[in-house]
Amino acid sequence: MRKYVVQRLLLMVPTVLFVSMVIFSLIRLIPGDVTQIMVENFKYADDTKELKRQLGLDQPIPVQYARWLWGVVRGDFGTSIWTKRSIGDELKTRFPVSLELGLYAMLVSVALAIPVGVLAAIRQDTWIDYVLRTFSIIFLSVPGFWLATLVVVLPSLWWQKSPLLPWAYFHEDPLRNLLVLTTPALILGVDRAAALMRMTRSQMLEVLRQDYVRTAWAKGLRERRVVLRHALKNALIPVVTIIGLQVPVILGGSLIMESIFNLPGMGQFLINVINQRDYPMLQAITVVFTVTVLAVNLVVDIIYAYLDPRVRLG
Amino acid sequence: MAQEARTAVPVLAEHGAERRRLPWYLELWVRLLREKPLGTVGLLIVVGLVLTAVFADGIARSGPNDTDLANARARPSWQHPFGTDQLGRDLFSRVVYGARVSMYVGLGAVALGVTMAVVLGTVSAYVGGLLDMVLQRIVDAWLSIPTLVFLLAMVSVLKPSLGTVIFSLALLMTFSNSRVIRASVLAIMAMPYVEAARALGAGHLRVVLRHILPNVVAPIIVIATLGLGSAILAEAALSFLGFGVPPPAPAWGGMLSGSARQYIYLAPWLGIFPGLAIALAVFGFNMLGDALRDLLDPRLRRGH
Repeated sequence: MRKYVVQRLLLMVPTVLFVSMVIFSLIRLIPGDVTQIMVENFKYADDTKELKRQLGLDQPIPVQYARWLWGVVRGDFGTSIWTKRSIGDELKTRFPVSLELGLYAMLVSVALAIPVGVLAAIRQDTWIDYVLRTFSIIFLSVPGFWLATLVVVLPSLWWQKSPLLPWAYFHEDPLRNLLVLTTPALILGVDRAAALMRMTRSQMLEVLRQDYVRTAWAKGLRERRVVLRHALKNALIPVVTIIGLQVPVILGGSLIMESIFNLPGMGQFLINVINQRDYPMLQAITVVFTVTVLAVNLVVDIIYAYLDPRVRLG
Repeated sequence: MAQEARTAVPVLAEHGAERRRLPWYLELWVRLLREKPLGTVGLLIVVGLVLTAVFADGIARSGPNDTDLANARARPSWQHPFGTDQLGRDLFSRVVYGARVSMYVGLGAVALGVTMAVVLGTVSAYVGGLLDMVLQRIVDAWLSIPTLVFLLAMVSVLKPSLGTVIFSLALLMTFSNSRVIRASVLAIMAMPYVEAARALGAGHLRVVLRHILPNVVAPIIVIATLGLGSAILAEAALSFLGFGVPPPAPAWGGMLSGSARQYIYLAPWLGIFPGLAIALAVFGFNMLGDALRDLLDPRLRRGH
């Protein structure tokens, strides 16, 4: 098991390098010249040449990349080209909020999807199954940002009361923090739960037909035991894969929720960064998000390896 | 019935010929209509959406950007079924023209993305070896960039336009779907008939074009249908954040975004109808894609 984890950690290194290189060159190869705007509209320097020299943009791209990478390895992401504030500090306060919301939403989606999927499977083709499946397709189709907009707007129209609560960080007031995050996490989670629930259902159906499950029934075990102990564990294996694949989607979704619910995470911040073409910031954000996805995926895969011994041994 | 025809005496052969099985692509639709009521609903919604997009000029009551400031934020009425927005533009017309924007983006992204996915997936599977390994690691890396962050980064680097949105979505679709294509191609390559074709001296190109690709059509249809739904949803999300098809183009997501948001408090219908349109369109593609998958994927057919 330990060997497996180490192996996976080592595999992350080339992935992160590749992603950072792609983003790094993408940003530099295509001329959306921010230095010109900075000089002409905001007088950051006397001319663009001077500004480029200050920002280190006059060096060849490989040199720039090497410099940047060396900084990142030492934990220094550089500074924003506009505000000159340390990118590391900026991320330190904002990123945990996005991560917390993302994990909360994942928790909601798993906690909803698995029981509901199992229920739909063991009551296959009854009205319970139909109702649950129809709801899942509806939730899969309704855009989360629209649902969130309605949740924010309608209460203020009907009761003249904004549903947005004042923000508090977890270390300040854990209860309030969770309370504020609950609505966006629910909207985000329900959306993702729909896909997960359908996977759980179809996998359960497949597993419930297998011989060893019939044997379990034949032994006279109770339904509860057959379903939860015998069938569910095997049905969960492909479901866990889907959870892993959803991580990048959920993290992206949490950005939208943050901008609607006014949370001090990466959401609105990233939008501003992009509008201002603050490239070092964009680079740092992309890399941090990618590493997060990889890390969460690693955890998911470790759970997978625990469920399916073949992965560990293979 | 088909069996009866086959076992009938030769005299009835002519009669039986009428009942010969339809080609698979026609039979698919017949089975969809017969066996999948929810899929049929999906198909109807999709057909409705396509017709709306094609005949938008006839259906809409005015141009999508005709302003009438005297009539701004009018409630829904006979004249303006969905009301009007802050500039007095007829929301119904904008939603109708929005179908066109969504279909452009959806079809463009799917056509480009699925083609690239087929090429990438097939090459990776067919060539195999080191190339396959390298390509798959690249796909892995790409898939670990959060979807929205990637899209926003793309749009910020390129200029915001219809083409940029289509290209970015297509790129996203390429990597995730190449996996599915690769797996299908690998499965088909293991079939005896591919080996037989090779043994008969068929070249690589012939094996791929004549023997492998026709058998990947089923997953491609499913990917494309579900992909249209997700492309429409993604475009709406991008437009909502202000990075999609630039205004004043009547994009559904754009109608809910930016400066329009503050008017939703004053005119709630502005927040309702564009969202409903997105949900309905995506719902249609999801239902249709789901039913097609059930009908086309023999592995899943068993379970349902």
